[in-house]
Amino acid sequence: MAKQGIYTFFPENNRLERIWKLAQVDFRRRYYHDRLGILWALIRPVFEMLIYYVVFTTVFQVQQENYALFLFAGIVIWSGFSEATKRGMGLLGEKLYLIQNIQLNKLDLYLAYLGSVFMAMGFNLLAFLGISALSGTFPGSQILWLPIILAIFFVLSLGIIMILSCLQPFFKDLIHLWDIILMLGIWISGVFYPYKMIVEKIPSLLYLNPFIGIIHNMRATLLRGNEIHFDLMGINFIATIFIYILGTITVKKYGRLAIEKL
Amino acid sequence: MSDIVIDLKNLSKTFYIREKSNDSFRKKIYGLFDRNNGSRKIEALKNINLQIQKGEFIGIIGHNGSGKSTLLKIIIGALQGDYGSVVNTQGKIVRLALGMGFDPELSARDNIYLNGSIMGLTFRQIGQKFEEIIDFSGLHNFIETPLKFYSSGMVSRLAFAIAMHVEADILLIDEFFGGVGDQEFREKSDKVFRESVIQGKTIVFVSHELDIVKQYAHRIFEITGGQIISYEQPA
Repeated sequence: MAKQGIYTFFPENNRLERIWKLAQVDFRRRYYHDRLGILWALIRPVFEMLIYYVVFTTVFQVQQENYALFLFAGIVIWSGFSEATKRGMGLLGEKLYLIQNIQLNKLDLYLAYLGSVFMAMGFNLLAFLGISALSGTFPGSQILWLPIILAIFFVLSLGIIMILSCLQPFFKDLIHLWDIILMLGIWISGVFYPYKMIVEKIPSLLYLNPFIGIIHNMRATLLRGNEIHFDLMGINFIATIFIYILGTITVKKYGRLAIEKL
Repeated sequence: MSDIVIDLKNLSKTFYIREKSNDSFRKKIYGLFDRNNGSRKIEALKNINLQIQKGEFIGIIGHNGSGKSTLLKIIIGALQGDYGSVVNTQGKIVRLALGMGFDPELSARDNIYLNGSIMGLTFRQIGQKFEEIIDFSGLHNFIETPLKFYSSGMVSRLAFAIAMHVEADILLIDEFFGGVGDQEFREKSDKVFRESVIQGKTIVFVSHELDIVKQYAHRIFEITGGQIISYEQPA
């Protein structure tokens, strides 16, 4: 049987194609219904960046080189995570029609969903690189580390979404609690200022909050003059593996119960 | 090795429905102190034993709420039976329900790719069958139209045209033919269903109507209150 579609990496099934198609549909659904389309994915972080930029440079007078881009990099990561988890916690309900109709590895649904969020983030990153090229601060060879940082970020988000999506059917008000956690998170992850400012006050956060490392290292790959913190990358990697395993166990153990609840 | 592709032993499924919902943090905490949070036990399936051979067409009839859909959900793996239930299946299973993966915002073209992909086809295979699907559904002038502008008949025709090409070893069919299209389309789809869709596959066909099931089934089971109450083997 000829089954050599371009996207068919596994000759005996169409799993990757299906993940890709679901991600693409999810992406289109969100951004292709109005005239501005994908620009909406960009408008929000840009406006957030502008607001915070004005507040932090005029009110708090932050002294940070390339502060606009510094801020933009942090906001892209944080808003990507925030959007991914807030919508992702309802994923089992949203995709119930698929779960009940085909034999499907639930991981595929999570991968497709997160893939669509990352597509939008990809546009933000392209915009970032465009702006940095125009402003003469295009990143050097350190950008080669970007895929690794993004992979860590992807798997970490995946694990967290897996856990949240299995809890949500049991705790319908989880979204409100999560909103509060995200609100707190943005202030303790170094989105607005270098992570050292937070870690000086609360050193344990360096180990407890993986976003400190992810956001710092993301900036280090995208902005000149910032060193990649390899120790932090290692810590992030371990935390990510741990959360991913926890997510997989949660889905395995409670996924079906959660589906029953829906 | 036997050719049993679906093997259900002592399959029971009990749902516990809470009279008072407790799906929030506040209610869960409150529930700790409330002894009277009575949950109601609903036995959706009771001790089902069923072995289905490869290539068999099994009909399952029963009223709404009899447990038919729960049974399908367990076979496909979306739900799990109670402790002690044994569910073994072999091969790829797809449940056919009209328009199951359709997105009303997307065009017929996108929906064909999405649905085809969900049903196990590769993009290349969908590309090869695309014209056939459009021909069969008779929607040539609406390929790029979002499905939200389709009539329900048009959606049904498209769904059936895609389902004709499903790649699976076991098909679970849920009231599939209830009123799909006009008389001409029904006859056409019935012919394709007999001659192509079900050929070489194991089918579990669930319906309210015995007459429809009788046309195809090797064995028919009636399910009521979660139990198989009768069995028939049409001539």
